[in-house]
Amino acid sequence: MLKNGKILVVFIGLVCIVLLPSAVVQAEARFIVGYTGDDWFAGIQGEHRSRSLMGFIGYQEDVVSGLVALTNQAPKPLGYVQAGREVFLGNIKYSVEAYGGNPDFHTDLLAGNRLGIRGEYKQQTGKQAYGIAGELNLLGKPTLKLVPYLEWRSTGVLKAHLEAGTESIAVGLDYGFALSPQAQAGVFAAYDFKNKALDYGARLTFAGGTLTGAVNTETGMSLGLAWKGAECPFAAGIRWQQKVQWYASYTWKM
Amino acid sequence: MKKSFTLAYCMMIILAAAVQAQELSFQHLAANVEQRLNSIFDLHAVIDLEIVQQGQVVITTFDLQSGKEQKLTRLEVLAPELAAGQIYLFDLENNQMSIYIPMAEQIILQPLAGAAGTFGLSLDFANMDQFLSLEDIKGEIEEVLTTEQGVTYKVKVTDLDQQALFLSSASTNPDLAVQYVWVDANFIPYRMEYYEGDVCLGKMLIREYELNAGITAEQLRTLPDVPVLQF
Repeated sequence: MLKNGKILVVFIGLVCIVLLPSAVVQAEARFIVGYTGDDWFAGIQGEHRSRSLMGFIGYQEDVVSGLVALTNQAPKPLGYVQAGREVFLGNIKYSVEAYGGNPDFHTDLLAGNRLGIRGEYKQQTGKQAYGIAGELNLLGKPTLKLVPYLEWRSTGVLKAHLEAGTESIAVGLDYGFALSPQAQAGVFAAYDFKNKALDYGARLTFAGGTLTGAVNTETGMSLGLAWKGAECPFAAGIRWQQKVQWYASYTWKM
Repeated sequence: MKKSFTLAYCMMIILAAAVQAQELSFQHLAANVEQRLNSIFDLHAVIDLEIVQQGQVVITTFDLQSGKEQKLTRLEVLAPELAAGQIYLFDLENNQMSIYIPMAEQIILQPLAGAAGTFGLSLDFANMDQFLSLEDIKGEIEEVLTTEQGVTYKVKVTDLDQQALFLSSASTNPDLAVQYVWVDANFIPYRMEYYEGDVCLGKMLIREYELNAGITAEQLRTLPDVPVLQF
């Protein structure tokens, strides 16, 4: 504008979406061992991440990962493959992911195999946010789940959601708050009208780790601990629900 | 009697403004602006920017803080809601740019050279007030206005730089482009408007500003305590 159009260029640059070539690519492999509660297992995992800027207001991250492991008695394969994209564009976030196998392997080793897609759209407006998450599973009996939600942010984050799907119809609340700059806590509760089950619990998130304790009136109590070192190559997880299952892994950066 | 006095007083103000306008050429005004800008050590301003992009009016509001000695410029987006809460920190000393993205609860860190390259110009992010300079601009004082804050000058830029990205991106006919700049009593260019014929293509308004308030580097550098992603 005034001096060779500079001031306007500055501000226009900030409000325009200009794709930048800047990108960060990371690839890593992990060796993983563990116990499912019945069997020991060992396997390998590979992960490729590509992160690129989207102008000055966001970035996108593409992740392709896969894990294959075999149990020791009557060898049975465990694992998953998945490919997904997550985009942060200003105060909008969306993600989409396709998967096969058990994409929740690291939180529940025996969650069961699925084939499907899941995605989420979220928009923040000041102290509030709203969004919808969904999942479509095509393996076996097709299932669909949609979860619209609202969030309010003040000293903590209160999230209210409604879950409507072929397997459940539920409402729930989640409240997370910071205990310190390095630690966060949360409590949650959800009631499933279709299965007449109440699920409630608490979680504690600290440097690299999350400890979760939950009670479900149908399936009983569960405890979980997941940890991934920020600077060291080790990661581990343990989950107790009637049986104890755990894993430990070592990562090689490539 | 009272009315006559008020009328006479108003006429005197108008006359004084007219005399001042006659006395102050554009070159003098530009020199005064330059002198004022050179006296700025730090700047805090709230800026409204209204531009037309693909037929849509986009209104953006920024909170800008800049320190010359600190070699830092910090921009916080106040509006629109699509980007509100984002913070941009241009750090010339460390040659890097940090962007806080509230939705991701993360900070993106990238070399400043890459950011400047995107703008297509070598920008002095630590000397933001110099972007307000009228030096090397050809123009004429079109109107002198008397406001509560004092005398305001409306300047018509007579020789627009055809390379201005704003024109090339927004104007379909640069020959019809006209630019006006308003300079306040403190010799700060605080408002500009850009037209193509009668159509307004963009406006910039420094809604409020504070000069030399003693902004510290610590104030400028303070960002939310969230993970940092390096690009």
